[in-house]
Amino acid sequence: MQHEINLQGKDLEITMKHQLIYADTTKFSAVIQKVRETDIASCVVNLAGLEHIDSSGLRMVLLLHDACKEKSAPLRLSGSRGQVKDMLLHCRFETIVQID
Amino acid sequence: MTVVLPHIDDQGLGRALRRAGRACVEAGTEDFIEHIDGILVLGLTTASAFSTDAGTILADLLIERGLIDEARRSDLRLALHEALANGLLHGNLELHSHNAQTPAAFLENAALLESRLASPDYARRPIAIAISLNPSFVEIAITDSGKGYSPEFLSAPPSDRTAGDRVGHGLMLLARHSDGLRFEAGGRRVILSFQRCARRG
Repeated sequence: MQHEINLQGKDLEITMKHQLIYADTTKFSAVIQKVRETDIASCVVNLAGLEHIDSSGLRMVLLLHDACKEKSAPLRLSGSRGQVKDMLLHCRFETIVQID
Repeated sequence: MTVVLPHIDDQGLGRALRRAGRACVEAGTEDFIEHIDGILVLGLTTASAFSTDAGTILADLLIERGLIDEARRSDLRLALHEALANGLLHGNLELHSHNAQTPAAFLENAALLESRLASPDYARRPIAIAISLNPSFVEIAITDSGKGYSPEFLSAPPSDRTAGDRVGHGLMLLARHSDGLRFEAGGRRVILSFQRCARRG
């Protein structure tokens, strides 16, 4: 996973690229940690550059949702495409997280 | 020809697999793969399997050799990642996703993962990926050196999962994105089948 985190005021934007798989657990823990230690009002994850995700990656996105929920900050997933979009929809992520 | 690699990175692994005959092994995994059959066997330590993207590299190789159709690239890559995640995380590293269902627990699990990858006792444990061919299918067997699964777990058919289910997606995806899935060696070996590409029969 390649990622960038930008905080503007209380709005957090996370950009993810390449792939999000089991081997990204340590990198993703830094993302979760950032959410937990920052005063945020909202979180948007830009997935336009993410081309592949596995079940560990899906689980990590759910945990990011939980971390945002602990802050009462809504999570939005934007720009998903291809295999990533298929996986999110197949696993019914739209029932838990806003996807656009 | 068996290629023995003292050190492995993504580029080196891709090159070694392309010039290997029957086997491509990281130093220290030779004994583990000795009795594993296949037209191509890859032996890696847990640390190297974790730091390289063996799943994508192997998927690319099988398509490049005309064994599996290009249209299955995404399925193949996903199934290899799921099987490797199973063998590495649950098998060799003895970590379990049901212990990481909250953000705090996930952070603890990630720290434990990092410490186990830094520990030679875990990091040097071998994992093997073996490719076999039969007339209709390419079979990919991933064998870990963990403790395996209970028979009850293995007999439970994977079913659909939704976002609310925090565990169990991996097996469901393995079954959904391959043409066949079975376990051997008490769950230490998962065998994925993919239909052979019609072009090369």
